[in-house]
Amino acid sequence: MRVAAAIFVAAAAATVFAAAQRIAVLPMALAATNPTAEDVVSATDRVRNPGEPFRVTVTLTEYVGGAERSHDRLIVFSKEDRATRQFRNLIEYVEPPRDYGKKVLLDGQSLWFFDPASNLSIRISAQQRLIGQAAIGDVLTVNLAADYAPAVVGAETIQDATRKERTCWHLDLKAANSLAVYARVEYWVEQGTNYPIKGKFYSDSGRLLKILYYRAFSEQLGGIRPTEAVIIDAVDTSLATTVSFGDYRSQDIPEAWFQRDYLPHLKIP
Amino acid sequence: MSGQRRAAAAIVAILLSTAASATMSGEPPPASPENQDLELIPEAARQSPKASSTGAAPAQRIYVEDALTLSSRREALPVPVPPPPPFDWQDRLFLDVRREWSLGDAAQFHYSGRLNLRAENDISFPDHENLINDLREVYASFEPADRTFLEIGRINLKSGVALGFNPTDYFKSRAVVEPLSLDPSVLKEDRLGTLMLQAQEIFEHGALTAALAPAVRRPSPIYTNLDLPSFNPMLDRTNASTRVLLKGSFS
Repeated sequence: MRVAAAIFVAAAAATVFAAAQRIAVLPMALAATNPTAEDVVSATDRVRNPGEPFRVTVTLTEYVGGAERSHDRLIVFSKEDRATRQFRNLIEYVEPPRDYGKKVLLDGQSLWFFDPASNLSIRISAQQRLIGQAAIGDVLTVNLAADYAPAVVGAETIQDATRKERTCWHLDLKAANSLAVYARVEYWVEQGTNYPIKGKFYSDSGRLLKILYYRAFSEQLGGIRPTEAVIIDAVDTSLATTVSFGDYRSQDIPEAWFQRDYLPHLKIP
Repeated sequence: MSGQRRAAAAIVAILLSTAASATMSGEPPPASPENQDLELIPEAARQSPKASSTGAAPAQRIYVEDALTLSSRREALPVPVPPPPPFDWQDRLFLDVRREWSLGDAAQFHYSGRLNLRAENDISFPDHENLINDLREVYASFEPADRTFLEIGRINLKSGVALGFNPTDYFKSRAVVEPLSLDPSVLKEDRLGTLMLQAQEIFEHGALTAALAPAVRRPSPIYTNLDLPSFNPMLDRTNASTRVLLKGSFS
């Protein structure tokens, strides 16, 4: 009982202290620049996503209990839909060999999967974006501003994936429509640069599902962008995945590519 | 109650003044509890992964599978086992190949087939019973204009995703080869294509597909294990009548 009480008091004190910190820091920070939450989310979307249709090679490495277990490589074609401000994505699996040629199309609510073995495109539930350690929803290019209603929690200094101190806006994003992969997202965006630093993703029930850190910022397609992400499974913390974004290329992507009938014909040049 | 409120207010005031004095005095802020999440990153994942090869892999999937079965019979049964007697040993070897060759920028050649070898103590070798090649697909595809596709050859054209009963899967009749598994999806994957000419035009928001499958052989009786040919495309199973398919889709 004493231990429980001590933990409660410590937790309460920590909460009050954190609140006090925010109260102390927030007015100064807000007074300095005073961006709205929407501005910050839109700005960090522009950091993560090039403003033109592009192709990127995504390498996923899964770790179980600290040891590398599997390795996947995908080619992703992304193009923003000007009407919805959301990205449409085409994915082709390159590695491992058993998955070579499998393709995924996400266009709004439509999620299609093509398997060359059956030569069929199958529509799958949009909720299946959440399946797997690094869900398709994590790999796909998304504009958070289009699907979430953000609010600024406050200014915080946290360490990034390389343990470098970053002064960030702490944002709380609530799903604003059914296209949002997660019900709630906590996001940390560095002040000034708008670099995405960290994200925490929650289920509808409020359970923490994933923790994501961005790192390895470098010049890609006309802007400094994160080229790596570390995804930690918060439900089973022995699972982690690194995602590398490389070989960015500007590419004209015809509208006709974003339909299921085109999936069998998609060839990687 | 009021005493508790005063105490709580005092704690908040103390904490606020502590935070303010820490900020004012320039001391580094205490470590954020968020930093504890960094401990969850595996040691092996703390460095950038090594760059992997970006060379294009060939569009192919090849696998070999072998299964050996041994059997023995109980002796002196009150009711004897009806003839023919089962095999003493059997070995099944499969070589399954799906491969695509590029014939330039706008043309490809596709092959999909499975070579089945069945060896048994009571079957001589080679024999039509132990060597069978299932020619699932062999066709050439062209893109004469942007998003206009022509394909000619033996093609597995499937419509609809249902596995059990699928009335829109027009080219399924007699196409299934010897099933290797009870998985209903295997019936859909391991089947013979139909000799046809297929044309497809993909528009910005839709596609139009036309397929012509001519009759090239007369219908034949259903095969059994005893008369299944070894190296025969068996077009009598898939092209015994002329069929035309027109399909439009919109997105």
